[in-house]
Amino acid sequence: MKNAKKNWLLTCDSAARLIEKRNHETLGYIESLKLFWHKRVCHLCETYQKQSDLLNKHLRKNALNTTQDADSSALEKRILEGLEKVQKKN
Amino acid sequence: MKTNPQEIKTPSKQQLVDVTLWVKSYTKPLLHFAMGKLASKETAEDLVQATFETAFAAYDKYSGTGNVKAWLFTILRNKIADFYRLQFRQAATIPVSGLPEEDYFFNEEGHWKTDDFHHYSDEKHLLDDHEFNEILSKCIKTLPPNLMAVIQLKFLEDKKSKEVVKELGLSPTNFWQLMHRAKLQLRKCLSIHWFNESPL
Repeated sequence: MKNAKKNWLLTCDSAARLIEKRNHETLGYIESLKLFWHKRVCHLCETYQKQSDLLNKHLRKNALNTTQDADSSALEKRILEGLEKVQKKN
Repeated sequence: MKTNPQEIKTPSKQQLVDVTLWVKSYTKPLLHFAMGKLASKETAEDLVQATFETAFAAYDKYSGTGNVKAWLFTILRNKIADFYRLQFRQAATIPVSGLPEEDYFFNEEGHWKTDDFHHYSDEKHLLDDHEFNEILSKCIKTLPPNLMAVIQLKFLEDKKSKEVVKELGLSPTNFWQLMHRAKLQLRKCLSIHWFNESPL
């Protein structure tokens, strides 16, 4: 595999790493060139990049719990009781 | 935040009346937001309560000219970020290289295992797919605590990676490798539970 890297060929797992790295920092010249050529010949990594971008979009807006009408009345009561205690202490 | 006990002013009646009004108006939206960002309902409730406690204590500092709702949301977001920073620090550090997730997707030669490579067709449709979002949420909740913390901190306010790196005291490389790890794990979860439709 080391030879492959020397020969300018990325393996898919290294390409996938670069695809993530690219989200966070600017790739070096050699890195971006290698990734570019890899994607030209590897449609799976090309697709992976699209999926990775899609996941980013989802994660940005994803809500872990989507209960629209969470009942907050019990919590309101608890908070108010807590605040009144603070008030009395002073 | 440390406060000198002598500096704490006695809260006035008016203060309690105001804050009571805030609690009644904003608990619901704050809780809804917190539950979207936190896996457990209990934690979400605790952080909303802590938000009002902080707001109550800082009532004097708040001039009252600004937007109360936005101010409360800022406090809440800070509390959520603190929670995940702590979770990250407390989680056992897991070595970044030699990830089991990579064996799942790549063969020994470093190529994708094609039999498990799902094409996400119709991306725009997926973004609005309620069921897909539900499964993704469940998948995020199954992430190990440190990966969950990294993902949530990065996307809580869509922060620059540099800021998150600084907050967590990580090296930039460690950070994006953790993100990479989290993404591979999410893909694995999606491929099992969304594409192969096995229940989660």
